[in-house]
Amino acid sequence: MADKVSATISYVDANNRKGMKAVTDINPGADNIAVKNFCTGLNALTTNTLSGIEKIERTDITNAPTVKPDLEVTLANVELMRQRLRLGGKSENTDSHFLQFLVMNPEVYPVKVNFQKVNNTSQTGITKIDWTPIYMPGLPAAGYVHGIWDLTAFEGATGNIEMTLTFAETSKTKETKYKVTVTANAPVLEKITE
Amino acid sequence: MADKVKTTKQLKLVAGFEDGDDRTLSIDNPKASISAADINSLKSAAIAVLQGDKAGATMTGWRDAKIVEATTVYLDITPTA
Repeated sequence: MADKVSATISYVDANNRKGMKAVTDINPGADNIAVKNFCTGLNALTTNTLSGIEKIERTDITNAPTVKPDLEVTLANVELMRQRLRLGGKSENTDSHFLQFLVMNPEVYPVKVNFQKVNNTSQTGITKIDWTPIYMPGLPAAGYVHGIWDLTAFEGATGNIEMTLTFAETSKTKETKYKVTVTANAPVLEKITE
Repeated sequence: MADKVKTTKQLKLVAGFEDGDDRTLSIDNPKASISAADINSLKSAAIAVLQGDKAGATMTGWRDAKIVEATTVYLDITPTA
């Protein structure tokens, strides 16, 4: 029986922004149906629309898998997230411009994040920022690393902004790339399959 | 430009366990009106699923439930001409 069990709830909030909620320290004896019922009931206390139970992860610590699970990244809409940019001269939002993301499975996939600006119609050149993910208070320590990506440099840009997030193991034997397209509405994250 | 004020709410459910430990589940965007019945209806499902994070103890029930509201004021630091 697994030693460590956790579940991830994905949802869309009233402002149509995606979010995730992790539930850790789940009783290994609880079956998947019980876990899903609990997660569904927990989400029912909110105004969020449940997208799904992303995964129920059961890890046998005493017999740790030798194959690392795939790295998963999602754009997070946690409480402090302010993701709108002033594109095209819009001025109604003067919040600072941050993009937040969650990196799942960092314990088995130690990561370093590189941010590379790919395309922006009002700026030229490539900007690289080496970004070491940090653990944020309030998020479960097991299974998640939370990164904050300052987009202030793109303030006032015209058109969409495309960027690439590269997640590399510290040994650099494996990289996973995601393309982020930031529009005036909401960012879109897609995994680049090479 | 004026300062911006943002208010956020979070539902915090505190679960108690047989070893005396407790855990807090924090959930964003709680409904405007959550009754005791809403919380208690989730109790049996929670007991079947949650365990203590120290020694894996069995959950005994909810100890506390509250909605925490936080107000953040983003000061306008735009320099004046």
